Amino acid sequence: MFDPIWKLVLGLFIGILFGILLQKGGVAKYRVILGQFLLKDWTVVKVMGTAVVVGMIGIYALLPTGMVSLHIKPLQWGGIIFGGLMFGVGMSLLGYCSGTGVAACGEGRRDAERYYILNEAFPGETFAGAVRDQWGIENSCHWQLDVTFGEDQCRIRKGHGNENFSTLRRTALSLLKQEKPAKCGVKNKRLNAGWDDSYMEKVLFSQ
Amino acid sequence: MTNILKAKSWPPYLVGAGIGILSCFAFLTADHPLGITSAFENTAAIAEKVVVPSAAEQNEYFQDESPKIDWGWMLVLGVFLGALISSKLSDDRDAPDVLALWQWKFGNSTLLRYSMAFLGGAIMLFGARLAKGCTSGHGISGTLQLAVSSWLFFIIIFAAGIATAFLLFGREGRNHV
Repeated sequence: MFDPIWKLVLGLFIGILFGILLQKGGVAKYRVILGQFLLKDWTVVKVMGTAVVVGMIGIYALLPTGMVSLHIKPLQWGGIIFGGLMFGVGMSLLGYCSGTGVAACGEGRRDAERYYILNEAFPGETFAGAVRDQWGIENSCHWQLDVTFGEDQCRIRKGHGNENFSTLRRTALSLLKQEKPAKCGVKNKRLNAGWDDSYMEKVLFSQ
Repeated sequence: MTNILKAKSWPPYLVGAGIGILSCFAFLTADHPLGITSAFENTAAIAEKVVVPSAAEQNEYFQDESPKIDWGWMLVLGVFLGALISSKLSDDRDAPDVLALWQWKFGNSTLLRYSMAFLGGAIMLFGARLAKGCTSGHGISGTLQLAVSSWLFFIIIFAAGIATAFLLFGREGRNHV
């Protein structure tokens, strides 16, 4: 009824490594598998393809030494064709295959999850952090564009002018922020660039 | 080490290379290809033997096969534990977008999703045992030995899977994955 104990332990060890790899590869996820079948997300092919190439090189390199032997499954046409068709249909319905399904169980997927953000059991810190992060964008980008570039007062409306100018302002803002050595604010850096061509060069080409 | 394990995901090519090396290791040490579904078959067979021994005695299956808790069975247990450890460490559990695609097409009835998952799982496992392998046994271990049966199986499951996915969700589904 049981294999010798060393073989069981070895199986468990290899299994744990396999499980970690499947989980970290993301192939224990419904959306990754369906993404592959809908030809959008190629993770499954990348993982399996690399595994096959690396494993093939390894096995055929070891084969002449006699340390490994091949275990080729028989080519029973009926079994392979019908089995394959059923497997493919079932896998697409379920969203996991057999190995990744076991891994998905380990990952705790009950396949009954809704996707509202507040369904997650957030600690207060995470939630407050998310709210403050939004203000981070507000303060570091929009506020600066308004105060240093006067974006809110800008009257450019015609055609694509507003979009073009917005892009230009953002580019200028990030270039000015990149210019680290000058110990002054973005507004002064901007003034400086207007007065001094060599400083402008420094900002533009970030030298 | 824990830092690597805490990462949510690893690059797919690295994971693939890892699985390839692990396959070689399994061949070297246990003289077994990586495979999952035979363990399910063994479990079912053992269950029959234990629960209804009289039926098992008449079943021809047991004349050729002697199911046991073996290397492959522990491998499956290991996969479960490995994924459990890995997802706990990286806090990648109960991701809320699992059913985004399904919900978009079929609504949020859990009964429907569960019954379809059960049906799919049953068809899949039956198919795997007909073909004597699954995505691991044929798809990785078989193809890397360049077995014709495994390559054929691999091509067929991909074709059938793609066809089913497009039948279920259509081209529109691609925007919801």
